Amino acid sequence: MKELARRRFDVGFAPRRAGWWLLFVASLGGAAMTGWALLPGAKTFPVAAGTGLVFTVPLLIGWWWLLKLPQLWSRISRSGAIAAMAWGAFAAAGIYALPANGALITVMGQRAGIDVAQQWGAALIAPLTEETGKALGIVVVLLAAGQRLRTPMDAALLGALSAVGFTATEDVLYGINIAYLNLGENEVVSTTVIYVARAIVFGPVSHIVFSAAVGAGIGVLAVGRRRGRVPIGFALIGLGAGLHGLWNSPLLDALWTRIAYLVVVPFVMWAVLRYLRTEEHRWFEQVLVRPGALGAIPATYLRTVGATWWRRRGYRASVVKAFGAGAIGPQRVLEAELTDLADAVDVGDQESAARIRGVIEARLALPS
Amino acid sequence: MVNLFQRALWLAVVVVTLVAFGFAIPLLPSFGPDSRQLTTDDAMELATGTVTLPAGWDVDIASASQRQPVATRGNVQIGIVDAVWLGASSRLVTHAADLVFSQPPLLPDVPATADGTGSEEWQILPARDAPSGDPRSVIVLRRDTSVILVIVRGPAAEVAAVAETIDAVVASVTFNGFTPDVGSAP
Repeated sequence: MKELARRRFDVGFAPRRAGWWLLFVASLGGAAMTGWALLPGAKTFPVAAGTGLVFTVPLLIGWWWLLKLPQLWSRISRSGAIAAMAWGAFAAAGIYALPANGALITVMGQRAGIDVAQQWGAALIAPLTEETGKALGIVVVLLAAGQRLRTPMDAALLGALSAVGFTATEDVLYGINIAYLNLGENEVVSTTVIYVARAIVFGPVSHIVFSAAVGAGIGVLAVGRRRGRVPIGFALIGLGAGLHGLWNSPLLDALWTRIAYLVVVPFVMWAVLRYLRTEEHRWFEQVLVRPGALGAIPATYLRTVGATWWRRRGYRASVVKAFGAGAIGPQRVLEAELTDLADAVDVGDQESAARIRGVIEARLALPS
Repeated sequence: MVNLFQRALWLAVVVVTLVAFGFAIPLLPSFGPDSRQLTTDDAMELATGTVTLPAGWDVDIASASQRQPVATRGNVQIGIVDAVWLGASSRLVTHAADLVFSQPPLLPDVPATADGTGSEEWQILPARDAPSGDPRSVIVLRRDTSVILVIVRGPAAEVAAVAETIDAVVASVTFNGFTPDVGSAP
């Protein structure tokens, strides 16, 4: 929703916040540990590493753009998005995943046997280490920005952005790994194949999806407004981690099972998105029905802001039918301004709330 | 605004997990055994096949758990690495030698037409003045696009003493095709 003027989770330069230092230092330390882990492979296969870095740019831009699409009720600030991605790329990958994955799989080999570790190591360990690392990116960005969650979608988006950074690092690693696997036969081709497979073919069932589900669960637990938020929150966290583990597990060794997974998971995520939309809509209504929140704006206008894209499209179509095509622009602006007003009221930004209220009242020619 | 206590709590949670995952968990394997002695011949899974390691040898748990088994007996070490190769076998042998040896080794005479059709086996030996850290021999096994390298290290006399065992390991290799692992595994 590009008309939204307010942005969430602006991190900026905030050295007075401990959370900002945590983000900065952990990301820096994670970058060093990631570099340390990847450097031997990059030295052996410099073309694969370089090709991976080149592909990282469109990967980041593509996901940045794709993750703007669900931002119907809020916009994540550029600095907040970059902070989440930096955490995912460096702290989550370099500190949570790379050192711990191998260690825990080895412990599994020691305790449960090598066969078990070979079969189930990645399925059981990766969701634990990687989902934990990525999900804590949500917490760190909140601490760095000095803000709280407003809706579960906030957490889902931050989790997804953290996962974008994580997958960028992991894809470079996979590019190098596949170069090892084919003894560097053709590093450009093998790296290209790995990026096409991971970013395009398996993109809809990637880290971004897993972390969005985990983030949604954290968000529901923290700020959910519907009944049963505790079981639903834990179920969503379990869903994200479970999908990750299932993808890595030997249960999906057969090709048809992979295809079935690819087909089913987008529908599951669509259902999650629907749930998050209702949460966002509920937040919007509950904030703006507070005494004084709307000023002179009639409460009936709240009903013009649909919970989902489809509902808004439907309402806008009726607006166009009644007032002509020129009315669609003002309708979109009204939707955005009411959402911005809800955000300002919710965070206690009285000055902005009064200004936005005044703008809406003036446009609607209402007595203020 | 989240209150100060909650912020401090979450800050502590993140710091504790950073230390746990980044520094404490990587130490856990040191509390367990590095290797396990095989009491019977043991078939190990690889990405492209299986290999049977002999009873009495010690298997490194960390590498075997990630499907790159290394077996040791005395000062002799057998490492198994699998790979995929699409082109001519002559280039495969050259590439493998470049990756494994620090100095140019003695390469087998691989026909230019060899491309993995059927089964192939090539042996790469170190040069006469090769450093002691270089492998004593590398056996390159290929079937179609699947490749398994058996890398043998150790003093010449000790390697010669277990030559039959090494041959048995090489003979135990089976190929099962290749499924590229492009998932979210670590």
